[in-house]
Amino acid sequence: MKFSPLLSDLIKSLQVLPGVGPKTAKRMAMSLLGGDEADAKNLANNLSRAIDLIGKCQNCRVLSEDQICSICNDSSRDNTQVCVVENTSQVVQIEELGGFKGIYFVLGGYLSPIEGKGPNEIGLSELNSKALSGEIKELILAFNSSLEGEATAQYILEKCSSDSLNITKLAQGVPLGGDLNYVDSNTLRHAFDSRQKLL
Amino acid sequence: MKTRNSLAFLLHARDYSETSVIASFLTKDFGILNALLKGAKRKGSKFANILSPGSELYISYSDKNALKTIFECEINKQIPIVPKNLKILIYLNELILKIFEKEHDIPVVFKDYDELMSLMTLDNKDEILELSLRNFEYRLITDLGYGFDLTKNDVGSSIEPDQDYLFSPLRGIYSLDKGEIESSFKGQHLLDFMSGKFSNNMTKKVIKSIFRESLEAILGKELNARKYFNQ
Ligand SMILES: [Zn+2]
Repeated sequence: MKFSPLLSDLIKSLQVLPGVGPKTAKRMAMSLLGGDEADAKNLANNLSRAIDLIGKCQNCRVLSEDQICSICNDSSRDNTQVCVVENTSQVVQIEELGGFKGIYFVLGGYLSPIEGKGPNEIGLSELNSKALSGEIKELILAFNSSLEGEATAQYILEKCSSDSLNITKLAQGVPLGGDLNYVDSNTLRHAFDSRQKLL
Repeated sequence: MKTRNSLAFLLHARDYSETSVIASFLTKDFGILNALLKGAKRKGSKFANILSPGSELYISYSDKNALKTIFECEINKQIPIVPKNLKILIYLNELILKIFEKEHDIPVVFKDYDELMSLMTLDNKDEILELSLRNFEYRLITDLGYGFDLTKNDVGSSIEPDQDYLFSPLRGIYSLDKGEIESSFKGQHLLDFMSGKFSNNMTKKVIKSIFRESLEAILGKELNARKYFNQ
């Protein structure tokens, strides 16, 4: 049986979600239309409102419906310490840990020539002018250790370095509770390089 | 189902689903391979740390389906790349993948890539690295069938050190009759490059721009890494 045009449009558009193929999309569509109409309407409204109203914080590029997000607006936070991350969900992750009192800068991706993501696409010129303005004392790079993540860190290091700015990156090493016998040589090498003084 | 094994380098990985990625490898025995790494983004995945740059991997995959699946992927050897050379690696990977996309074949030998990687571990060998990168490009252009002679001009006369020349991807090197113009260069630079002399900055610039034009003519587009990193 062929689906009606509206139904096949819906199934097709659900497939923009990561990990959703035609079969899952069909199941989702059936469940939305076969269940409580109010629930489905609610989902549609929230989605539409979120798309209309959520943008990027003008200061840190985190997803937010305010022009300046709640973190940047919080006067108790130290805006001379900036943690640079790939995306908003990492901001949420670090916020859940608690303890970090600085602010963030969200790139929206790493430098990736193959994917057409250059310095301008990921806000590096914006970050560069912030770094050079002298208002930041420390940039903490919280990046993946992929080629793209590491190359982005190196790019920032080369472009933003100045005497008044500390650029740091997260330590890499043996996982907590990890057994050294099972740590791969790559991780072990990083752990060795970033060993800490005990006394 | 057939299982294949090979040494490989990861060129690029992109998200396939919330937990899996599709990776492009340069393999020692089977050329370029695009394959699925199931669950690579899950916590504690056995594929978790293969994405770091400079890992020579030992992979096993099945080619039962059109989309090949990796079952084993271990780090065979770690090549400690100097951070300032990461942009060269990123350029190299883009070049290889875009050539493969266009030509559906890549005459690049794993060994050449491996050798370039080894040079990237040295902090003070920029000149040798750049020369090797240019030789890599020249070999690639030639092996793809777009080669041109750097010792002769388009009508077969030997390159003269003091003569002014121009390059076009279609004609190769050709002589400029009167005087020099902005994009022209002396024959000396070509002769120096061919004899492995690569210390003059003008020679570096001339050779880079010739191969760049040639590669972009083959690809029909600009390479992004060049734009981003001025590589
Ligand atoms: Zn903000």
